Amino acid sequence: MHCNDMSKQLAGYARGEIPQKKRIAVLRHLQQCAACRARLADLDTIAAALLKAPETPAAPERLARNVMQQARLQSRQTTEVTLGPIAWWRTATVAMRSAAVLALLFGLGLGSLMGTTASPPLVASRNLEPAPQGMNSLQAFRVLGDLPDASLAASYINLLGLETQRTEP
Amino acid sequence: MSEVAVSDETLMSAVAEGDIEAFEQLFLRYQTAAWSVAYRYCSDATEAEDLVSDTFLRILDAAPRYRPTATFRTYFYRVLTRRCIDFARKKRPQPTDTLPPVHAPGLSQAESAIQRERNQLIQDALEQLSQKHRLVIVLRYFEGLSNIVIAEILQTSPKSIERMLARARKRLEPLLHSLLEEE
Repeated sequence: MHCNDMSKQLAGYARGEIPQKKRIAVLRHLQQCAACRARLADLDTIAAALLKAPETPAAPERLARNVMQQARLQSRQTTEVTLGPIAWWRTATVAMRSAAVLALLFGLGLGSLMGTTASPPLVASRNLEPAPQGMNSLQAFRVLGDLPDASLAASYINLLGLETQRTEP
Repeated sequence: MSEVAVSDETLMSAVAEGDIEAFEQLFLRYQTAAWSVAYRYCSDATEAEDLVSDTFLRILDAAPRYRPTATFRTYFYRVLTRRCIDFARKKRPQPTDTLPPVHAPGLSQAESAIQRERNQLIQDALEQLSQKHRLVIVLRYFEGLSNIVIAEILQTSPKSIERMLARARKRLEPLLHSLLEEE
């Protein structure tokens, strides 16, 4: 950059109104040219005085490493927290919380209603034997009646080497 | 689209989605500015490092709530300057000789000593200013920002910035007089 170009740039530099790249070019010229520094001092004394400040040294290398390390840790913690039900509850609106409570109560009510009304007639209608005293929970599977082919329960019984009670249709 | 073309605001949206690589890109773009402001604002390199770390981690933490009502650059400087003011409130009086030695390659010992003296003079002069005036001077003369941009960052009017600058200049002139007489 030449002194002639500087006359157009100095006022902008003094007001901080030139782009960063151009600012650096102007700064470089000012550091080398006493005449342009004097012209700048006429516009802004402090700007001219601060040209004497040595360049800011580069940030220490460990800064980037430390910041990114902490950022990764913080990001992982945030992800874990935001996935939890407590985090959902904290961030949910009142309407969302109310809906969740109602859904939970409805589910509990329906479950308890089905548990008390549906199970006894089902056992009674099949005329299944009650599990003999002393029988463990796995052996008790046999008294529940036929297990459907390829069902999870049948596979479980087979896996344990227990015989399933089969009846011909 | 190349990486260079990705705007700060787009990167910030990615950060909000948990993209840590996008955060690294933003960090690389702004770390020099953050360090420069923190270095000039604090008179302690360790505290300047803490200030920069804290600024970026706060930006990461606030990313899901970030709304691009202003440019990211303005938002970044806003977070940084708030951290500077908070830092100054908590800071206990410190000796001002804790900045790392200024060492430019190719300078003789005598020249390096002169540079150190000048640096100390400038830091001492900046320490004489109020927090806001110091920030305005740093943003204006070390970051090269205009009154309008500084006003956006500090959420005030350009007129108010002009007044602050006038007062800060008046306070600095006698303190930096020896630098001007060197010519």
